[in-house]
Amino acid sequence: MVVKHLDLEIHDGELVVLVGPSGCGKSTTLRMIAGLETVSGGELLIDGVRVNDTAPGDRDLAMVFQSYALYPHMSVRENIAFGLRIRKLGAAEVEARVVEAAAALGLSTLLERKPRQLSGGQRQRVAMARAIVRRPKAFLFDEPLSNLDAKLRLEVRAEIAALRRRTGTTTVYVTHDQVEAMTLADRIVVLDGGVAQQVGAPLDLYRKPANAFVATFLGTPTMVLLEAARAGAAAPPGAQQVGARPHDARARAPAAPTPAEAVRLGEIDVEIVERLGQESFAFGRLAGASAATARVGALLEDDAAKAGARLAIDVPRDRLHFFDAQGQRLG
Amino acid sequence: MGERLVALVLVLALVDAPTAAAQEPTGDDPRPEVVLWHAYRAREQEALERFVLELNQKETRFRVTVLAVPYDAYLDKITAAIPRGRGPDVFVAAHDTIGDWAEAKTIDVVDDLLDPSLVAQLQPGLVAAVLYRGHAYGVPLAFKSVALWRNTALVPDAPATLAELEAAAKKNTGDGRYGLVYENRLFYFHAPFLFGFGGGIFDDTGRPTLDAATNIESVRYAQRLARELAVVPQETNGALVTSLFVEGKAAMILNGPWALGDVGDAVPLAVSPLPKTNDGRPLKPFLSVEAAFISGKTSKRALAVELVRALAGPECSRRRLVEGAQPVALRAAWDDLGDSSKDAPILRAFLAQQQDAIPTPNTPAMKSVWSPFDLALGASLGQGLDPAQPLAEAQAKVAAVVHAIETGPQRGSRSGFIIFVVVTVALLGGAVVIGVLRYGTRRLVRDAVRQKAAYLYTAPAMIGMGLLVFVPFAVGIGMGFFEHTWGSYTFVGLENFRRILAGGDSRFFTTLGMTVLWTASNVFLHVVIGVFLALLLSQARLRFRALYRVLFIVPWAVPNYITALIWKGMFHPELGAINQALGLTGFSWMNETWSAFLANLITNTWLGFPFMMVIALGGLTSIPNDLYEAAALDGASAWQRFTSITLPLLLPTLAPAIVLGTVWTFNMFNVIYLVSGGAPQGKTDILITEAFRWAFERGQGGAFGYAAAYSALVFLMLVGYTTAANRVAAKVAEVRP
Repeated sequence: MVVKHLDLEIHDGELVVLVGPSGCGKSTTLRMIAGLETVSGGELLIDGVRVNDTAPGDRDLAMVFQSYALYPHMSVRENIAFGLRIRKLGAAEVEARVVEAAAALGLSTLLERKPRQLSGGQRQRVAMARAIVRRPKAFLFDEPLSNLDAKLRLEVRAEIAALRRRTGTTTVYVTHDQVEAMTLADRIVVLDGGVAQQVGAPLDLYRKPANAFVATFLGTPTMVLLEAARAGAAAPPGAQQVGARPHDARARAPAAPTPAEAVRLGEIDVEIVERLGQESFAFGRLAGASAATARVGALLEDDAAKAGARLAIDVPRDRLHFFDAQGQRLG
Repeated sequence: MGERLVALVLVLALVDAPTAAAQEPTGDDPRPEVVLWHAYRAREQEALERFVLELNQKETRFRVTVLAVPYDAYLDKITAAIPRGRGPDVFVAAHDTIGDWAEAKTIDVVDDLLDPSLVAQLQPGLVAAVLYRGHAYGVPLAFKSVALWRNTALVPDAPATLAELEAAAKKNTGDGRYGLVYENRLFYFHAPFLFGFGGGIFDDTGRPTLDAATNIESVRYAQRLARELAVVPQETNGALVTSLFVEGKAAMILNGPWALGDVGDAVPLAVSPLPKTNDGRPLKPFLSVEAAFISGKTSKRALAVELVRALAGPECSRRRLVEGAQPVALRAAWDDLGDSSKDAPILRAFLAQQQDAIPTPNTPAMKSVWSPFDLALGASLGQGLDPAQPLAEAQAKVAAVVHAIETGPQRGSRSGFIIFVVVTVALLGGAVVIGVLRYGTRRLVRDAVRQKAAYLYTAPAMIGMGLLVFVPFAVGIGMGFFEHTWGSYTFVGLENFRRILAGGDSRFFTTLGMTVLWTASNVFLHVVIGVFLALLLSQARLRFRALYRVLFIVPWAVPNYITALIWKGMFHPELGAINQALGLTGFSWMNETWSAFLANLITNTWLGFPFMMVIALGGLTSIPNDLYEAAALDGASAWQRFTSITLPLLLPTLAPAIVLGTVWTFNMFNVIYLVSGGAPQGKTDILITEAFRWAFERGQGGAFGYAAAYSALVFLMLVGYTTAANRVAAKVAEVRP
């Protein structure tokens, strides 16, 4: 993957998440920071020092790999201690730090096991212990949760958040999962095609996506983009597209009046109703819209509505997002 | 793996009867069949077979089936097949094995056939060769000896004396050319000098006289030619002699008529009898008389006699002489030779040489002379030792054999062989019974019924394994308990093992030491070079990786005996590429133990590293790259990554290959036998070549039992090693991810 242009400053103690679809350059960026890929142009500074040509081992960073990359022939203890041994720490110091790191991650009873005797979650924790035991300047996480099942993923995610709070170590975290990004990050960098699309706090990105890509990449269900004309007079000059998150839209009977602060985008013939418990979504195609238009989703006011019903879609004016011909945010 | 190894050992240790497919009657020809074996090729074969073809057309009493047997295996096949009733009725062979065959009744007495009238028609001096203990055992058909060949462009006139020979040789030596080329480390080619200087092999009572002063003098003369005058190249062999001559790089050679076909018209050739010594005594080569023999087991003796008469008769002789360029025994045939063909003067030269040639002794004791005398020549000409000492050693060895023959080795009878069969069958049967009992008879029967298809599918392989592996294995082990002399076996219990381990054979432990050193240094180099190259080849940045990979595998793909022979040529002192590249021309690798060992080691390393490289490459690709990345981030240097990641993770893959490579190297017969040949004086022999030499090269009719005991010990050692090594390998394999 190629990273074309990225200008990013990560502050001390910050947790920055690089997120984007596969092939967007997020892993490459992380590997460049680690020193596993060479930087062909531009500068990489750590603590203000150019490290483009510094060997990975001399950058004082620790990385948790997607595969965990545990040394299969070493016990958990040896795995955790490996980096310290290489750095020629005293035996007592190594032992103390290994015990401490193992305790922090609940591995104290597993120290003599080999990696193949561990579950996926345990291996993941060994990988993290191996990172924290080094007390590096920064942690680098490369999709650390993607090999875990959904339930374990939540647990470990929380563990990572807690760990990071405890150590306060600067962290760069790569994921393709926007939920992980939203929940963990101090700041998110959305990457696409090797270019940073937007950098900012999770909620800022959610609320004010800088362009149509960020708008549709973050948030579930995905934001719907329609021709700006649908928004009528609410659309600013130059607007090409209007976007609304299903969470902000309301699907209600066509006869019901549109609230004063809202804009009616049109009517849908409901195709699917998704009931999630505390909320339900209706999805359907806008009547009279081109076939290319995506399915529009909206929160269902009346839980009784069924597929086949015709409902109107209303969105509060201040929840509408407008994008120009280049997809850049307006207003 | 152990079994396969044993099969290999036994193939080396056993001689079994060949199949004689030609014996089956064909068609509905009513004439009884007489089977004729020979080992001729090219023109001689064509002449003989054309005669038989015509004979078959007009002969009414019998018809002849001809089988041309490759020369290398010929004598062994005769020796093994006829006593088992599967050989030919008549065969053509050189006379020097008559003693063994007569003792074993492989050939029949033909006094009736070789009557005075026939004798009178033959060249004088030939009949003596086919006599053994007062009886004639064959009818001479042709004779062969070496004579002096010269390139007339370089040596226009045949040298009449050794002084003239030396002068002509000196004139033509230098710039990669040699005045006189012959296989000077073989007794056969040295014999003309030995007899010319008045030496001999046995005295009138049959005692060896190898260390006689005249013999020593003759070897000193060979030293003078090779070392002082340096007109003879070192370490020649038959192919080299011919090729140097054909290339015009050898002015004169000692060779026999058998090489005529290989020389062709490349250089102007003339052949003359060997020169005389400076005091006028002729050099006398060994004379081989090729004779027709009648099998001692034939059921058609009367017809066989007729066939032999025809073979010795005028028509066949004329064809063999004129068409086959074979110096024939029948005098009358030479009148038909004429002067027009270009073979004529050459054949006449060999005829002239025959007047001054000594028939090779045909006694069993003679077979024990060749190898010790060759070794003595090697020591004298290669290492430059004074001949007295090596010849004294040769004398001692031969004297021991002659003594053993005279005192009558425990000649086993037929019953010895029966005991042997019984022991073998008992061993096999015992193994099967133990296997069945351990597995459980009922379970076995139940399985056989239930898994009929499985047993059916594996039956061909099981039968094949049984016949090719287990039977030879049991036979080999069983043979270790017998003493073998000239086809008969005597049960000696553990005597062979006792003699090897505790008795007179002190060579066993030095050879074992050499074998272990050989194996360890080879496997070490194979692994180090193999892993190193695999690391290079696994670099993604490397261009043309696929090409390099193929190139590195090539040494492995070439049959190892070819590679061994190529390296042997490259290690040649004067003509070899290695000495020429290193500027060591003249340095003989085979004269010192360490250098001969090194030559073997280099050859086998060349042969062995690709296997380890391929295995290591496979192992390397199975090591995930992110382990290296993790280690890099942990601050490990390239060397630390190699020692703490690559090596421990490669070991599980390499361990079985190392075990396998060790077993292969331990028994790497081809390289040792072909490159150093055990030189100097058997010091670089390993156990398996030593076993081979006991069986096939040390006379006494083949110490098969002793060799089999050797092989059994090799087997035991390797079983022990493999068991231990596999245990270690299994431990190592636990680190696999």
